[in-house]
Amino acid sequence: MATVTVRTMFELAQIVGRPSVLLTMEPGATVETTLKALQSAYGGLQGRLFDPATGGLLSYLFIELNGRDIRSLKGLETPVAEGDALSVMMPVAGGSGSDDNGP
Amino acid sequence: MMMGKILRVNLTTKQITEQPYPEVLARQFMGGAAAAIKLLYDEVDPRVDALGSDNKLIVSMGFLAGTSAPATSRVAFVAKSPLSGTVGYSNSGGFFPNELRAAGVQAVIVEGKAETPVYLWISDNRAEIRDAKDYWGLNTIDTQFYMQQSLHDGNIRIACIGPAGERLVKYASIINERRAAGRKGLGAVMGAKNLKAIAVRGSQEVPPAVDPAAFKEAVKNLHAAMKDSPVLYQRFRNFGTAGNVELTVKQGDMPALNFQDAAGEEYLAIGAQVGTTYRVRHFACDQCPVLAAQVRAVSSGPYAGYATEGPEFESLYSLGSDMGIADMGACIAMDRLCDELGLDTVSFGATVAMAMELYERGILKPVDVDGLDLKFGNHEAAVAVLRKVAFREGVGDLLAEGARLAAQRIGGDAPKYAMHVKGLEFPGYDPRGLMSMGLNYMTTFTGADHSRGHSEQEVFGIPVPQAVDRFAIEGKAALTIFNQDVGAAVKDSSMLCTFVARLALLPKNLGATLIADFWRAAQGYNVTPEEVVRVGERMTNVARAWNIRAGFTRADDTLPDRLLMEPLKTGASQGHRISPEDRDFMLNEYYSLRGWDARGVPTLERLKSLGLETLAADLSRL
Repeated sequence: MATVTVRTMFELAQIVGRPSVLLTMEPGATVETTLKALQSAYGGLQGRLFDPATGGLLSYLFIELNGRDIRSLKGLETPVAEGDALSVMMPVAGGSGSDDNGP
Repeated sequence: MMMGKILRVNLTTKQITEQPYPEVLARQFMGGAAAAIKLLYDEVDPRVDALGSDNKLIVSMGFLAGTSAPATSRVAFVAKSPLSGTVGYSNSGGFFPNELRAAGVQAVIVEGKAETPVYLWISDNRAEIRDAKDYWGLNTIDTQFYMQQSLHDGNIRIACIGPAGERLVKYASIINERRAAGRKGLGAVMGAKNLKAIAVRGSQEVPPAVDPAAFKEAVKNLHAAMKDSPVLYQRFRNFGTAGNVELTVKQGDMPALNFQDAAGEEYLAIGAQVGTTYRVRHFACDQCPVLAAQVRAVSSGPYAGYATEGPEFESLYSLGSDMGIADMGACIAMDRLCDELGLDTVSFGATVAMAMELYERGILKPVDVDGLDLKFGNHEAAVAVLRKVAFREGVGDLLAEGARLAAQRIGGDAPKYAMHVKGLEFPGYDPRGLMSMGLNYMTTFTGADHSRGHSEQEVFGIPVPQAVDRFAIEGKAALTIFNQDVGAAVKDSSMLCTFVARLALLPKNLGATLIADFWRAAQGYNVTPEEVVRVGERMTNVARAWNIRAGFTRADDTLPDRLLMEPLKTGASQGHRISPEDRDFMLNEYYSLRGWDARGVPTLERLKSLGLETLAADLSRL
């Protein structure tokens, strides 16, 4: 068994009720099975992680495992292990657009 | 050609001349900031006093300003930076840029120094230098209001300085409407010239594109790409840049307490979700359908009554977490005060954060800081210091010099705590968790600058040209060059808004293609997307050559010791740093890929390939 911390933000955190939760995963768990376990535990997440039409991850989600973009690892197939932290992030913008203080 | 004229204004001789836009600037540099930096290279000796009469302020728009292309009302201000001594470049949006273009002007070069305070008045067929004694001493908001009243036209657009610029605060900003060309201290360059403002009113149409149908098609494609973004009109409009607080807190790379560690979840109190509860309305720059600016107001507590257009993410870091302040009301108040008084929020906050650390370490005593209890988190003290900096009173006179110079003057161990590159204080991304961002800070020609070469892949997970491991150093040189050159071409030459470029175009790698479409249609040049990117590379090399002539060397392409030696203590980037070996590995690879020698000097071969061989002759004379 592996205990994985899952961190979320914005409306995902509101649905979950807090910024991070602990999930206990079976051996052999991956990023995908962890996200599906999260979705099962919090029904309000249906349609907010995976695209209902394609089944793939929603394009604007940015997911890091221990600070590393899962696409630089093995994507959704990346294994998770005891003590891992999975961050499900929703980038909005970045910085100020002027050099500056305003967009 | 669609380009307007260049106005040359000499404040010493009081002469104003007009010249047609040089073909070489339009063809090799596209216009915008890239052309302004080439003008700086050609006309300003890099060793001049940035606050002397030999420095020049160049105001420059991209070729898309004033056209039907959305999100292009942007202007570049370029001069030698009094804060860093490097090329100083800052840009702004709002309405001023399109108004200046509607007056038939593509660029203004301000030279010399007026004997007494003046402002520059530009209307359709007239430009004149006018007495500004009635405005000197006013803040930026009142300057604009009374100037519009006196000129009997509320639609006049004005870029001006406040008391901080008048007093040559090294990080004074230029404000138009509520927008800021905040960084690099270009407001002090205006102040040193006794130039209070540039006021403009125009009613001219931009000349038609060479191929109007193709231009219209490019506009349609830009709108389509914007509409297709899952983020731009939904999440970005709703949260603005403040949404980055939530993201960078999760990533563990939002700096706190003068970079002593990463900001924890207590700083979500200054994030976008809390920010929406302060939002009164949205606002947009001219001809922009996105409406991303958030007008936030405080309605209770000690800062009730303050409202601001912002604070943007960088200001939430500098006025918030970097000073240990997790109070949205205080951030809104300081953001407003910085804009009114004409101070860069980022450099102000970062400089005071350094002073707070020096105070807590006993290097600065209470008597050194006018008796203020300048500990981290004390926002009342920070507000008091803000006013002192703007008016150069007491400790404010010291901190008005910026972190690097102030630390040098304090002496002892103080410089160890000055967080800057080449004199420019850091923006809100700790590079210890973002290796390409770190390399970018080291190599960008303006110093620690988030607006050039921002690592969208590491911070936002945009997988173009590929997804990356943000802690890895391998491949980061090529990535940094991609971000610097594509960004320079798409955002600093055409002057398209960075958020449209980032959110709508980069995910599909459309930026250079679409700008090439616009450029061909507008000017008739037979250009490819690769040629667009070469404009960015030219800009980088011209600025690099100017900085080398100013005296900058490889030794300046580095980070503060804290970021090289002290790993982050907490958060998702815990344990990471950019070691000196990591720095050298990335820098060597970066120079090599750039076609620069081991000292970081552009080679003749590379400069020739860019059509810049005359720069090689300048560099060989050093």
